[in-house]
Amino acid sequence: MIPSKRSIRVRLTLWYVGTMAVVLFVFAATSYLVAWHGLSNGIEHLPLEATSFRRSELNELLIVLGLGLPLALGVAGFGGYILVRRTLVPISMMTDRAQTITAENLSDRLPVENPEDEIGQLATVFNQTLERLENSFSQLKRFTADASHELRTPLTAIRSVGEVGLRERRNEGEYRETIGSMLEEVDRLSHLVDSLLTLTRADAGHVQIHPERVDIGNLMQEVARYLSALAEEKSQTVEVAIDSGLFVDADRLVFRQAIINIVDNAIKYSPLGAHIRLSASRSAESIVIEISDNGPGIDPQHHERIFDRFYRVDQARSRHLGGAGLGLAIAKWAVQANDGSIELQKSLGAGSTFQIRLPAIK
Amino acid sequence: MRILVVEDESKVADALKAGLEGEHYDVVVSRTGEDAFFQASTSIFDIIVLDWMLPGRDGIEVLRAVRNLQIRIPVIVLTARDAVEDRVIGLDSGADDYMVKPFAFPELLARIRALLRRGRADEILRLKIADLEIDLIARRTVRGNRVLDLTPREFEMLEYLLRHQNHLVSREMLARDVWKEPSRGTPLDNVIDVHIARLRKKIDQESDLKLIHTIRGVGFTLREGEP
Repeated sequence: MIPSKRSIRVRLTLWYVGTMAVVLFVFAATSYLVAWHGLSNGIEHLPLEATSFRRSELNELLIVLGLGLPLALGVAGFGGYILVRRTLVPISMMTDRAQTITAENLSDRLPVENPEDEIGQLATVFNQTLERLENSFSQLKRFTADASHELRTPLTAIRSVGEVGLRERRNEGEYRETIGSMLEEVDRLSHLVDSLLTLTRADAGHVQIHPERVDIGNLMQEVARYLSALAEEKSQTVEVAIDSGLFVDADRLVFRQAIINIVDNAIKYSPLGAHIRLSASRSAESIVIEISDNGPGIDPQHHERIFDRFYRVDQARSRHLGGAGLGLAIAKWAVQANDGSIELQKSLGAGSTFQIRLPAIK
Repeated sequence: MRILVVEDESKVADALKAGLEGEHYDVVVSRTGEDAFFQASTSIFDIIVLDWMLPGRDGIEVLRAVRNLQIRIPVIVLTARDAVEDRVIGLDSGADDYMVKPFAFPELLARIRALLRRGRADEILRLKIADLEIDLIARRTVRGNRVLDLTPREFEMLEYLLRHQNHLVSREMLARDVWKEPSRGTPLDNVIDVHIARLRKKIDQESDLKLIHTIRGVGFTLREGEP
């Protein structure tokens, strides 16, 4: 269809007037024809005066119709215009409001006069879109704010260590200490930036997932071996209890990252002598992997936000242990990128259990 | 040994120059792609350290142009781009090695040494420092007259430290070369520290001469005497 340059208001009015014109013309023509027919039928039986009277009546009718038709059309057109305008008022209100909505006031919504009619439905759908946008925007804002804050912490350390180091003359050993301490913070910054990049790439959909057939037992054993030294340092035991022959379609490296992050957390936040258990089994069409510890567990109030970026259960302690609060966020992404789901099980007693589900392959 | 360093960021370029000269290399610094190409095509270098992001002609273009002239000098590409695809572009364009910024200077040195050594027969069967010696075939470690019982991982770490003796070894180098860890995002630093502590206990605890030293903020080094 060729888009018209005229506004909907004018178009609807023209259509209305056009339709009315046709209807009125047909009506007028019919009534004239009926009157004329009636006259010509009975005309030979009537006296002459009556005939000429009838003729003048017919002419009057013609005049009335001729004048009345445009007048009626004018009235109809005017009425139609008013009607269309009134119908379209909500749309122009929506237009005006929508024009003022920017990133700064995404909380504004379009007015919904009657949620039942078509325009109301349009406004409602539009408002829902706005709400989703608002949510993503505020998540992004929070992420940026948190990220800046996290970046600032090592930067502040580098700066103050450097400034204090330069304040007075020191011996070589002290300078080495100062520089070493600054380099440690640089390491922290680099790790943080690497994690942020991983997440940003994930958000932008730039991470290529290369699925392959992954033997879950093999992968879990590898991760356990890999981190066992850390557990041994804390006299913890890591038990791997996995049924054999469990396979999933996943990007091995990406998925391994998720498991490593969760097991690393379990070791880090469980006390000396704790027991950590990695298990996996098949349940219907999915593989269920569980990583549990018998540590103090995670307070239910944190469950909802535990996978959020930069969220820490215990701010001071995690920071001391070197975490930026991104490990679980990355784990969650890594699992979801492989079509899986991850959740922290509601635990009754002590300890926490992370459960991952992935679609199984034979 | 002459090295051409192509880097437009002057602080980084100066630091690289000073660091490499400290290792007794001859260093020429080039700050633009055009100049780099000119240098590489008109004089002889043993190795080129090339930044990818350069004003004007970028590093990869320079690299392709240099390779088109059939110049086979080893090239290490430095870049802030660490996606796998970028790595592939870099290596496909003829780079011999690829380092992601921010990189550790000891690692750059190690890779330069590796590239300079390349092609030469490396048939060392024993590695030695002071009274510590390892036999790579029998996988046996001896300190003085004690035979040490090392786990396979500890042996590999020790071998790596011995191959880089008197040089700094960063945790990242150990992660990549000993643990074969492909991704930087994996939290390995603690794991490495634990293994180093165990290795140190076995090697140094009963000797007065300490060989493994921790350099704060950088990594480790195996050497006689204080670093």
